[in-house]
Amino acid sequence: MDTLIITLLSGICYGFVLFLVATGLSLVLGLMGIVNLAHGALFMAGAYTGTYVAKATHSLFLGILVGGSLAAAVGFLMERGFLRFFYKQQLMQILVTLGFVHIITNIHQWIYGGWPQSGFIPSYLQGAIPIGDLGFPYHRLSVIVVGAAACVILWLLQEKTKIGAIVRAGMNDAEITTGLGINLTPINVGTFCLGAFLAGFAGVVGAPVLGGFNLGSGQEMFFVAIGVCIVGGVGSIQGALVGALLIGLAVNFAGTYAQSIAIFVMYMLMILVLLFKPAGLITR
Amino acid sequence: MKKFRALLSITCLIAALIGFTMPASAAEPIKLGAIFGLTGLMAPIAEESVQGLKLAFEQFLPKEIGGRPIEVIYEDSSSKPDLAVQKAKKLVERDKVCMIFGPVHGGHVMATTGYLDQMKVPTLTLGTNTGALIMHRKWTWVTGGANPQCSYPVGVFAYENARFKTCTVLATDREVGHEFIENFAAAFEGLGGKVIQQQWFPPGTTQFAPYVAQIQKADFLATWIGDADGIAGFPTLRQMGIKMPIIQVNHAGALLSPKAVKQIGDSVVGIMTAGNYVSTLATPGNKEFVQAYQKKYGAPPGTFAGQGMSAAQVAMAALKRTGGDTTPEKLREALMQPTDTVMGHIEFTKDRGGINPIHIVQIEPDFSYKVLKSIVTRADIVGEGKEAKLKISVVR
Repeated sequence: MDTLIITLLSGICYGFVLFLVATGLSLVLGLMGIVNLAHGALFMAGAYTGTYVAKATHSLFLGILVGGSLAAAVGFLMERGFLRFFYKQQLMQILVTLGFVHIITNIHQWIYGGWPQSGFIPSYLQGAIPIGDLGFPYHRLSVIVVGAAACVILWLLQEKTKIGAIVRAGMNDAEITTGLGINLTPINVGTFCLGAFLAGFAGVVGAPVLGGFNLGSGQEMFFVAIGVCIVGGVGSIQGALVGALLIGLAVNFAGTYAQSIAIFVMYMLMILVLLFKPAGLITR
Repeated sequence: MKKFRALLSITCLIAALIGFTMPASAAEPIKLGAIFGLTGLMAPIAEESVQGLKLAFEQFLPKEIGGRPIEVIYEDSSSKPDLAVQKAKKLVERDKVCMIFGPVHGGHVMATTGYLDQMKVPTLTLGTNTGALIMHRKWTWVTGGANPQCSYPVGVFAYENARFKTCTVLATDREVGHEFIENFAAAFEGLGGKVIQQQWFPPGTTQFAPYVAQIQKADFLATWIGDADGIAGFPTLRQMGIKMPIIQVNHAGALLSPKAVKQIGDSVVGIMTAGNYVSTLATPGNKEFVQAYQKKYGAPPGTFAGQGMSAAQVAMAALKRTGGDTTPEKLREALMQPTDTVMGHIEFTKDRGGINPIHIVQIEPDFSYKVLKSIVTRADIVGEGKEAKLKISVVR
């Protein structure tokens, strides 16, 4: 029973980290049709700089703010400086964003070196709730709370505000939306930057859940985030949440009860969804 | 004027004659090559290795042998085995190097040494490396010995010195992980200990909680959490309240790098691990090497830096023995002789496997290393053909 509880909580916790990473990717793909291969690199950029700031100042809040803002700023530069010239040109988008992956990774190697780094856990989140002989760390519980709160805020933003309505309209038909006199450019820029901010934010809060990070973490998280988009469906908060939680739980339960399939359980899930519901479990 | 012209002509004639009669190789540099993944995922390991090598050639080793200057050419494989082979070809065919250092990673080493074997270019790997190099290569010197030579003494230490009787295992499900754990377990169980559980997680795992939740009670936890991202396991083990002693049966890179352990943080304090070199060793010349390294790079040398220095010492000792003669057969003979290095006294078996100390250390709260025990082992090929395998034995 203790093992089951720890596995369940770990799965949910990992799921919320994946949710924070994948939401931005999903929204950008849904609204702007951009496959941002550098989304994982933005996660890594947030993790490195945000964690560095958090460790230096002993403030998780400041780390999140700096990590998220840095990722958002890089996202702004990417969108305004490059990607806006390549809307609907997916090959060019792939080349440009792949270029950013290399640039961002090499800059981080140059600044921070190549060794793995640990995440930051503030003193008030040290310790664990006892479960049997082991414990479930408080900071992991806090990630569940933060992830759930972010989910609710994003859902409210998407479903209950005018901006959210414009985003949804833009996803359904960009031409008609602009034909109604709505300027989609600031919405596109805002969505791209919000997605980047969430990736950087996830880098700081998720680093301790992932046991730390290194120069390869961005790539790894990008592939898992793509998995979340495939399973959950593209362009909605609900889809990202369902996909992220399913993958988070599957990976953790496989680690506990079926270690021999742990390495490919996420891909099994993706294959099943692609076979029976190719657009993802939650469609707009 | 006529006198001056005559004098000039005679001078030119003498100069030409001297030039003609001197051996062509007299002023030619002795070229050594080094291939490391200076960019990509192997970069941190490569960076330390190259720092150790560079410092060795800049400050500690002779600048020339037999009147020939020493030149080291460094190449970046970008952590890609195919590129490592291309770089090896460049070093051998264009630069005409007589010896090569590196690469570090098992996959890269097997890829490059296949070619280097054909070309009869002596290659010195840094630290322990795959046992396949001893079994299947003829021109590779494994200066730190085969991988099993690192984990086997850990089993001996755990049973005889730490007096542990039972053990549970958590390790990366990779060939090298199995190589380390099998040999650790062989030593530990051979002496009377018992491995009560083995858990293997996929490479690249970030979710360790399910594995930690299933760890059974034992005297200690033996790990081989490999790869750069695999280091994620230690924070999770500590956060979830695993209190039993932990022995990482081989350092897997990061645990013996002072820079890396500081970055990983408190979760690695108290962990015991094993490797060829730590900066606190009392070996000949190590104190001076550590001081020079600290001055130049701002931190004590990690295991790869020490291995770089040691490999350079082995190579230069061999070149001294040949008097600067770089013919492969002469170098082979010279490389087989023992050398004192900062890693300790290195000898080689007839199959070029290093016989040298493995140091079992504990990470202190200030992230320095306390040497608990040093054990010398050797790896010998027993059996023939498909039955051939490495037998590890403790020398002292």
